[in-house]
Amino acid sequence: MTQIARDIILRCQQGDKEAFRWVVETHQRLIFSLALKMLCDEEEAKDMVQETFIRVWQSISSYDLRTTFSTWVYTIASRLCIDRLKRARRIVALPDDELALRRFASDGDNQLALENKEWVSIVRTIAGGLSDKQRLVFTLCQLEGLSSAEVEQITGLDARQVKSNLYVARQTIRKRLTDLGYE
Amino acid sequence: MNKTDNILEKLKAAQQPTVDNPDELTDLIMDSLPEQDAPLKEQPAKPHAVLLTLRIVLSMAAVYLVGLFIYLQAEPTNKVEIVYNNKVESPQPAYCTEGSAREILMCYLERKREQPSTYSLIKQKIYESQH
Repeated sequence: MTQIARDIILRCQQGDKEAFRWVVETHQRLIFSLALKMLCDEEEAKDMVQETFIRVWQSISSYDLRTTFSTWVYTIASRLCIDRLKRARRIVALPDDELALRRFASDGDNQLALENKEWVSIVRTIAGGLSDKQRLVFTLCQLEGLSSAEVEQITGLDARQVKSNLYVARQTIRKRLTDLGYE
Repeated sequence: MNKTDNILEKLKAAQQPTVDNPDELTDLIMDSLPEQDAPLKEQPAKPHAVLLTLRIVLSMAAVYLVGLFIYLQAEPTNKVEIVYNNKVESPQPAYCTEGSAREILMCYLERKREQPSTYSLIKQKIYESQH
C-alpha cells in the first residue's frame, strides 16, 4: 500500500467522508466486477457495491493497516455476495445466453471487450451448476485473476479447500461446455 | 490447450465489467453513508450446527430429568409382594406309578381332584405373606 493510500485510509478511520470518496472511486470497479459475476444481475450488483461500501465505511475503524486493503474490501463483498446468493433464486442460464458464449468463443480476439450483459450471459451459461462456494472461488481465481493466497484470505478457506473447490468448479464447467459441444 | 481452458483464459484476458455511470454510483454511495459513530447493527451470531444439536439434546435431557424427578417424588404405591420360594423343588410324585397307563391316569386325576386348587393355593400364599 502506498503512503498516500495509507494516509487516506487513516483519514477515513477518523471519519473523513471526502477521503472515503477516493476509496469508493478506486475500488468500486473491482467490487462491481465481482458482484456482477457472482450475482449475474447488473442492478443487484450495483446494490451490492453500495452495500459493500456502507459496510466498509462502518467498519473501517477496525481495518488493520498491515493487511492489503483491497483484499479486506473483497472479503466484505464476498460475504455479502454469498448472503445474497443464499437468499436469491438459483441462477439459471437463459436460451439467449448460449449465443453470447458462442460469439465469445468463436471470436479470434483474445482481449475482447465484453459488455456487462455479455458477461452475465457467459457466466450464467458456464457457471450455472456451481455451488455458492465453488462459484466464489472460481470467480476470484479464474475470472478476477487473484492469487491463491489472496483467495484463501478472502474466503477463509485453506489452500487445500481452495484447490479442491476450484478443481470441482473447473470440472463442472468443462462438463457443461462439453454438453454444449465445445470439446 | 483444450476449448474449455481456451474460453477460461479468454475470459480472464477480456475487458472486465464496468459500471455505466461510476460517478453517479459514487454519489449514491456517498449519500447513503451513515454516521461512522452510529453503532453497527448487531448481527446475532449464528451458532454452530454442533452447538445447536448439543443444545437440543441437552434440552431434551433436562426435560426428561425433570420428568423423572417428579415421577420419583410421587408417593410409591404399596406393592404386595408375594413370598414365594421358587427354589423349593416340587416333589416328584411317588404315587400312581404302578399299573396300566389307564390306571395311572385315573389315579393321578383322582389325587388331583382331592388336592386344593391352584387359585386356593395362591390365595393362601398371599394371605400368609400379608399376615
